[in-house]
Amino acid sequence: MDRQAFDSDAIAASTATPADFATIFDRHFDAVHAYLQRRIGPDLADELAAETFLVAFDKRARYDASRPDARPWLFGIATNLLRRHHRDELRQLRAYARSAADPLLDAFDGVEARVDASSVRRELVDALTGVPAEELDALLLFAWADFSYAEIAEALEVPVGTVRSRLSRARARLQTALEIEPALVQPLRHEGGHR
Amino acid sequence: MNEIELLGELRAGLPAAKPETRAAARAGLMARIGQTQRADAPDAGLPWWRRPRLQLMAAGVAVAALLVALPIGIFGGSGRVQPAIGQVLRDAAVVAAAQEPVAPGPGQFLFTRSRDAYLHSTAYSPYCRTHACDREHPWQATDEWSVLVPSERRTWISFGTRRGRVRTVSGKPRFVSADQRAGWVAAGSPPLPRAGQVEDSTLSGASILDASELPTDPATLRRMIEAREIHGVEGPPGEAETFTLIGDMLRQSYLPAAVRAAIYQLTAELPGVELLGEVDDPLGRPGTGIAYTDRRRGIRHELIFDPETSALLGEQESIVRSGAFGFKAPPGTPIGSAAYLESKVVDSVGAGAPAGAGGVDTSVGCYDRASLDANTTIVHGSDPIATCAKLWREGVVDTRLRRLEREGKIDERPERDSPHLVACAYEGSSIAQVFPAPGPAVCRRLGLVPLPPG
Repeated sequence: MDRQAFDSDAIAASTATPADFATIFDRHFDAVHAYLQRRIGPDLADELAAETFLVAFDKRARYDASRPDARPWLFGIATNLLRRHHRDELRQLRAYARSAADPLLDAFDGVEARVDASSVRRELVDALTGVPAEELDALLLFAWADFSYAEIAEALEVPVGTVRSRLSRARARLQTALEIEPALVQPLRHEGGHR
Repeated sequence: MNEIELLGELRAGLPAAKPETRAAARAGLMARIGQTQRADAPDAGLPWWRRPRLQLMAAGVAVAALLVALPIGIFGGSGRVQPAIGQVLRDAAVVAAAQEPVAPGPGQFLFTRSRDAYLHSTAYSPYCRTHACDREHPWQATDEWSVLVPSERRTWISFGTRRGRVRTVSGKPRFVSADQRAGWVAAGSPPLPRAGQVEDSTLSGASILDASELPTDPATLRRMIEAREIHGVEGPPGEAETFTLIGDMLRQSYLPAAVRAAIYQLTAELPGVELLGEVDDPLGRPGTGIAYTDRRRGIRHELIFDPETSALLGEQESIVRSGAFGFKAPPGTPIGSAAYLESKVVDSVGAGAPAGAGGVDTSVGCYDRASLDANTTIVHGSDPIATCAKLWREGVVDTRLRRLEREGKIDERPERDSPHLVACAYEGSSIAQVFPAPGPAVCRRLGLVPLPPG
């Protein structure tokens, strides 16, 4: 079995032999980058994903060794870095809602910005611009990173109860905007698990 | 469909991170890791001619860190100890045990003088932006070249709280091999390190190995070195690095005789170490040579000691096959060497230095973007910002212009204004890194400290 089967082992080892931290990068860079890219576009994602691992490396000595999976920690760092760009994120979402074309796609070579015919999606994007930053972080970690409530709580360093209320407020905002009957909504996942 | 499912479809299926993005980010991380290792490593413990590998700019920094961080020694070594070498090293241990160590008191300095040839490499990161970065051959970057710079170094290491100093006087650089010269010509023949240049940097006393931490039992000492447990004797795992660390320790002439004897004794037991017999050091002085060949990297590291005194006379690194380290050169081509000339206790910094060593100049890296991954032009100058501003105006820093010129698409590089430049450095480093940026905040963002202007 891998000597560093858990992220916590690799991080612990890296306090003595820093090069061991590369394991954490190799395991999680793609996921962190994908999440950041979905939120803010590829260019900033390149920068912030790289910075996430530098920050994580610098903070490795303070990692809670009782948590075998480093993803919540890394996504928490990424989320903190994203905050500086919240306005850019909102600007992109507003432009998307207005023009029905996602400006984020412009940044990809060879990917034409597709005009989105779905008016529901435009309303969804428009509604997202009205979700406060801390609710948006919880919502998108849930919807895009497949995090459980407990993992979101760990990433955002808030109690699980806070995650639950932030998520339910965020979802209520979207439901109102999309005119979805809250009563008809079934929970998609159990709190503890992944899809 | 509910709102979470709708959200799940939003921006779904975006392309994954590009391999070059990943490679650049990884290189950045490895550079940071390398910095940490460098920060932890003692100044005095690193062979002078190995340090420049850690001083490369931009991609160079990353590349250096990668080289250091690679798990080396997997294929290195024969795995058995030759009887002859055991005897030779045990004899050396006996000699070592009988020596009087140089033992500076508090407030005194250990003065050493060495003559070496170190690898000065300039590498550009476009390689990693446009290719999948090959960690085995990071030197394949097109605009990239290495020269060996001969130099004479004098160091004063404080055994108290005073600051020590390193003074380096460089000689005329020469290219490691013909392909390296070709790389330099292709890049527009930028200035090389100047002969006669003097560089001063300070050394903290924190770099001294604590002898009280070191056991004199060879087996215990070996275990601690192999486990990288000794503060100041750190590095990646592997037999090759262990051999390098042995050399690093043998160079510390102030270590107690019993510890030096233990180092020779444990080296006799190390797998893969071969006896070269009587060989000349890089200055032609005869001694006994031992070597370790890291077959994976294609590099052979030789240590030459004086059997009469057990003192380390010199070291040399060479490639064992063409293409190793990215150099198309015959096997045996040296890529670094050092010869230790003198080691004594003095009372002040500067004692033992020749008169009129000249003014202080420093290495300057001019980056074309505010990133450590940016293209870099490395030159020497006393005023980092003025030096880089001139190169910006001449279109030297902007490698895009150089490439266009080389490809015949423009006749000459147009004169242009220099952007606002900020000079930074790694903590404690004498090398300036100059970035186009509005203010000194860029230094901290990159993990550096700002240098005062001028």
